[in-house]
Amino acid sequence: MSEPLLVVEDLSVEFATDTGWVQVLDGVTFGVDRGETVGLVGESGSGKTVTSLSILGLLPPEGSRVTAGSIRLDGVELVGMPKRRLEAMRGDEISMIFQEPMTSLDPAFRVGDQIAEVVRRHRGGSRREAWKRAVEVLETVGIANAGSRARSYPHEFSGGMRQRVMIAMALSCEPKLIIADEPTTALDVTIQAQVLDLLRSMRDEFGTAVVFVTHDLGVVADICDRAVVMYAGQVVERSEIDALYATPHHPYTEALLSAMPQLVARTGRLATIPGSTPPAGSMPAGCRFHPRCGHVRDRCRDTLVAERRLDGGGTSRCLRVSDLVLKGSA
Amino acid sequence: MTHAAEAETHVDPTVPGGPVAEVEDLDVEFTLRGGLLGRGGTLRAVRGVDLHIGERETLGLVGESGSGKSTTGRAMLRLVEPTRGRVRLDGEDVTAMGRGDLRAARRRMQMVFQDPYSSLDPSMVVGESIAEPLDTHEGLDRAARSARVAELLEHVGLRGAYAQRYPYEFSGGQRQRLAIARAIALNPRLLVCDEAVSALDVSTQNQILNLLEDLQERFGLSYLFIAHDLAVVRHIAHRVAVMYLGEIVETAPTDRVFDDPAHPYTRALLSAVPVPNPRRQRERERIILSGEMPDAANPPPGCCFHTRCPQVMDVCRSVAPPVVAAPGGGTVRCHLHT
Repeated sequence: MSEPLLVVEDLSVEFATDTGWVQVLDGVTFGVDRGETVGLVGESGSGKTVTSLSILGLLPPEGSRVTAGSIRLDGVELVGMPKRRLEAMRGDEISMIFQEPMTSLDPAFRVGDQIAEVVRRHRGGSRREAWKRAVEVLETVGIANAGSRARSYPHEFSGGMRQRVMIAMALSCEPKLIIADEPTTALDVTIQAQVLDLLRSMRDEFGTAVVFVTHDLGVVADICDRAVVMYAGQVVERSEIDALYATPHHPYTEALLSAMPQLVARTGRLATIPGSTPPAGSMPAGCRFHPRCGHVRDRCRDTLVAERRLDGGGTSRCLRVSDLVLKGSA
Repeated sequence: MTHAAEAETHVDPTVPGGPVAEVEDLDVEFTLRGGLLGRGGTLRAVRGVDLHIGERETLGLVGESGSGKSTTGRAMLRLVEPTRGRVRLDGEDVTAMGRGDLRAARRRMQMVFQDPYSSLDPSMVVGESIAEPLDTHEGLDRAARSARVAELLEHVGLRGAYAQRYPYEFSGGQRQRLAIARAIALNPRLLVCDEAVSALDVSTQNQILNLLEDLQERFGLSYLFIAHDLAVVRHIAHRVAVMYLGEIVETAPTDRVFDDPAHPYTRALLSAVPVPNPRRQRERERIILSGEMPDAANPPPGCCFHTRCPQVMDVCRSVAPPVVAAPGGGTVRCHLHT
């Protein structure tokens, strides 16, 4: 069996703090197949964004370090890759969409020029060809009058349209993989629906693989094929999407699902998860979720828990996985 | 009384004890000055809004950015001045009040914002921030003041001793609890919660929502709950008003709005929220609206939603729809129902 398009294997990352190096990712492992959309799910402090920045090689060079593990795109190792080679890959084989498009768009340049610049950097060719490509991808993402809109500046677009411009730029060199970090979180729900629809059709049309970083389990249910659930810097569960919602295999996943307020019917009192995510550097012993877990046993407090493979193809980092039947939302 | 207010009182069950807050034909205009293109003009952020909130009732006010929902909440407290219309609190006209009366009335209506730092001074211990409204309005002696602060902290599920800590020492959810403690310090009648849980993770968000429900029960509070998250509103609101481009396009008891939305915009809005259940999400009928909300400085003629409405008719392009009773309860502003 050939290796998935993206392999993240046993990735550990540390950040510098006033009191020394602190681990923020611990042995993160998952894969993404060609044309597949994988959700990286978790609350703030889970490590999902650090994971996505690691894949892009965008961790701050001072103040962070990869202490172990491997990230391979199409078999090519990205960890330790020289900066210039990484830069050559970014925007070409792997590209990104962030929550706030203005962090990636330069307000001083016309959007067509910015996309054309990406195309020329990676693909070469003439200015005219690059401009033509820019207009073409703007059309692809549903910008009306793309030819003239390419001459507009970022501030002349609404939030939803700017996110489309970002997606156009991300697609301009036909990447194998797009990292989308909360790309619809700042958008209104009707605009979010448009952008998710667009991402879906881009995937179907070009077979682009997507790592979709989000805290929103509704969005994951809508667009992802598989999900990687993160908690306190670790992967706690990996699963195909239908199985994850029907029969979760980690108490944290169960807790998240039960906490989602439902649109379809008002339930009784809302479920909560007691306490809060532990800060990096002061992780509890044993299972990191044990102080908040409703299914905790004594052994959970001191036994280090490894991620284990399950029969259905997923994984769980729970000692009790074989004797627990957890509730899903489906 | 305006047409809309009439239709509402006609359809909605009368709230016991009469409304705590009433808004009638509210308009808020902003003057646009200069700008890059040197154009002036006025922007009507809120247009002819009618609503009422009963005792111990939560009215959810939903809509997308630019719909005017926050401006409506602020205008009710006169944090922005209404251009037209009436706001009444317990029957008293807030819009006509002079400075002194308004200051006194603000005891009875308070606001909770998305960012708790807007009501907590980062350089002050939180007990001082919570005591600030007490100092302005009640002038308690030292012992009574700190006893009241400790009591308020306990009401919101925090320890009284936390009064001596600084805001940065608290988590996001705890800071929102502190902001709520400050907001209820003067025993208000009405709390306007403007995206009060939007910045929180889901587990923390639920703790705050449960707290708001507890406080409502315990102190008989009324809430105007402004939010873009429809699932949260379904949970907490008794009635819902949906805003689009400054207007309330539909209002009704929560179950009616969610189970049987009458306005095409409400239907699209609900269908756009992905549900956390992949199988159901795949099977749901989805209405993807084209385009975006028009510029409030240049609202379209006729129905404000006609430029994006999947069911638009000729009449919608030129004639503004009246507010009419909706099937199953509440009101709707749409030609499909006239």
